[in-house]
Amino acid sequence: MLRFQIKWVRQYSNVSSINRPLFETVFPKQKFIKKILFDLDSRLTYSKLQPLFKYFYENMDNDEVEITANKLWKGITGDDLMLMKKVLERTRRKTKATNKHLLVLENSILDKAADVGNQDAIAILSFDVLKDPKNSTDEDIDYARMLTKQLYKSQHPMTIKFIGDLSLRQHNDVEAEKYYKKFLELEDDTVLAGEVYGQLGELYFRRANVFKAEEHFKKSVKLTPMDLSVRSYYYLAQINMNSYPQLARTLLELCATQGFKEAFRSLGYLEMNYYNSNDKAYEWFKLGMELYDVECYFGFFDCCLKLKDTKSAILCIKSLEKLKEVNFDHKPLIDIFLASRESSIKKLKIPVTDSDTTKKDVEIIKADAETIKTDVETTKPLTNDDNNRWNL
Amino acid sequence: MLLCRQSLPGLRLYSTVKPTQLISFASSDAFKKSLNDNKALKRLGSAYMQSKLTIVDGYSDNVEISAELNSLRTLPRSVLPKDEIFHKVSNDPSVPNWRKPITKWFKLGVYIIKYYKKGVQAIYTVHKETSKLRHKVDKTSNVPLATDLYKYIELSEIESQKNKESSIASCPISRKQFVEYHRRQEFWKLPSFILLALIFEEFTAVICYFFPKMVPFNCLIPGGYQKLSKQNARDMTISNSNEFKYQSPYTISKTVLYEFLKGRVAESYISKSKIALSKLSNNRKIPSEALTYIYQHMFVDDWLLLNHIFQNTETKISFEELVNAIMERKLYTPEEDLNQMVNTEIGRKVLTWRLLIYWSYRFEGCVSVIPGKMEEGQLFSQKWGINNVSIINHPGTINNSLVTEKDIPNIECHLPKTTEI
Repeated sequence: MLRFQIKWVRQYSNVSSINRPLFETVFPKQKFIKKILFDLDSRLTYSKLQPLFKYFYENMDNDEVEITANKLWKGITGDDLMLMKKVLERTRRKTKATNKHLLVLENSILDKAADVGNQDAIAILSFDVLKDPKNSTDEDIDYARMLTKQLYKSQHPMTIKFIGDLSLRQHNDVEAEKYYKKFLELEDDTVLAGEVYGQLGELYFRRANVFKAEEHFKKSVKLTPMDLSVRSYYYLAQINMNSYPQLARTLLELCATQGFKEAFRSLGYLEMNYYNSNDKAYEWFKLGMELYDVECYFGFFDCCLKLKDTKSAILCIKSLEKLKEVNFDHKPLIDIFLASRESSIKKLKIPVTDSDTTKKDVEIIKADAETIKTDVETTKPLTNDDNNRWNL
Repeated sequence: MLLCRQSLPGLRLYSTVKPTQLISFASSDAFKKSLNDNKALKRLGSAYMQSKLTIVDGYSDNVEISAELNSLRTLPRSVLPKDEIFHKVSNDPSVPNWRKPITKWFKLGVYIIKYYKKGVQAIYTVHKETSKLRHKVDKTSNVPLATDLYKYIELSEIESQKNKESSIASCPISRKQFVEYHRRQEFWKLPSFILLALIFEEFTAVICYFFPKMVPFNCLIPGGYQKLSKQNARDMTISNSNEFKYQSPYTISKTVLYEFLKGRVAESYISKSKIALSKLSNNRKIPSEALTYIYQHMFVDDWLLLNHIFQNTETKISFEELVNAIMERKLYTPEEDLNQMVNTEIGRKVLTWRLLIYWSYRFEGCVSVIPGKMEEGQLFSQKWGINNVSIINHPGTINNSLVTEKDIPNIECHLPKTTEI
């Protein structure tokens, strides 16, 4: 249909082929890939796709090589290329790690899919330009707009979803809802539909339309794998927190398995104040502290007092004081907390001595604080786009 | 707890709200002060004094009770019409004098048999009618109906509050349906009861008197009911404290936990064998979850009754429902005969005021009792915290004292009948 000339996604492909490791060393194990192919209901087998992956990997920088001329290409369609891209994407999600070489391979396959006219690939690339116009030239933006328009006219579901996403980014909830609903009219039982249900759920939740929100979150978790619907799980937990804490706990634990930061503090407080399980709360807060969630520090301190773990409580207070110095956003909150726990802190009698242990502890805290400083500065709040770059 | 979170609209993890002051009626002035402090008490008291809330005899021919509130067929009668039957026989000229004593007892026997028959039929009908009631709320849910309704009410209140609506969306089921769904479990007593009736025939009533738990609830006679209420009365040594403290079903002591699991409501959520097994195996989860359901059941029942009172111009509660409400909330002492009390005017007042004070304490400042000004109110769980069992069966008064006959003048003198709600 349309041939792509723009090197939009090449920003990722700056890895030199000279330094690139062997395909066999970076590509996941056969069993792992086979499982993903099974999950994706692939029509092609591992033995058919693996050589293709290898071919793409080895010829990523070689624009002159035309794969269509190769015998491996026989019977391969744009949809198959998108499936290959999904395999790599799932690998990324499942392993919770991004291999830069595989990411380049993923983008290369996406480019190829767009080249052969796959509408999903074109929509993804167009949206990539439109959502971040600052990093693209005017020519690219116009071209992406033109493509999006054409795809929209042909009622391409993913494009409609992307327009909804764009509206949502511009805080135009009404428009976003309109496009999401339109998307669901075309497609309501796919993983993508699950994501749209999740977005709609959040939209309704913001409007305090809780029943509708819950209904959409339920649909979202039903259709999408957990790593893609972790936010829906979290919102469902919040909705059920007051009436059904047991369910809320289970949902939050699922969120925690996906490393969802907000889940740790909620779980900690739930375990400590409701379930009276201070040991579990201690662990949850500790995990939350590793992600520098300031409220986890508060919970951790209370938990230490309950468990009579004075040493950890002292360390926690010291960490908070250091954190206060390096992070001004959290300062008021930390001040309130410290003021409210004044009597408990006094009872702890935090030593200002220069004993070996204390010196060591203080050094650790200082090191911690430095890490916190840099981490807090670099950590952006989790947005949907960060979490789900390709929306697939 | 300082660290409350309200990151999401209307939802909060733990209560931080200052609790309602306990109500005192030790003197006229003390009650006046309580009345000024507690708007819910003022509203409810005024509704009662203005006869917008009335307690009526549901079996009386010329009285109509609120159909969506009361379920007379599932409750035992508060009074056995023994005197009425005896009086009728005494005045019947067709019965010779020498036969009158035997006829009196015979007619009473016939009445009781008919009473049992009606009771059994009612249980069967209720069981059949309520079988699909669960689907009205959430057919996929696997938690008790009370939990689903608790959630429904809370989410409705959040929506109404945030969207600044003047009233809360009505509950998908009525209070009558809710209590009937809960009472449908009496159906499982039918086989043993019928067997009992076949074996003991005319002595069934005697058996029922001595073993009231074996009898379907609506087949109880007042004597049996009193025995049951005595067994269900709460242990006054384990009373709620005057000092407010958040306690979840998992943080209370085991003694208190198992004490709360006594009574008619608890029987619906946890069996005696499960309690025994939990005690034996030191299981905390099963009894704690059962207590959560009881807490939510009581909330839903209270909410449905209060909602009716505030949304309608007239609320008529039957004697039997009042007695049952008092028994379920354990607002009585073991020595009291609730059926006898409800059949006297002063006794009725005593029971009604106990209930009103109990509600006022729990719901003061809640969205539920201030329709029209939703944004000013708070959610029940915001006020008390998640499933705060420390308020279960709390009479809402200082030292857990219960209203008695002598307190009525102190209470009613401050609520003239002309007070506007």
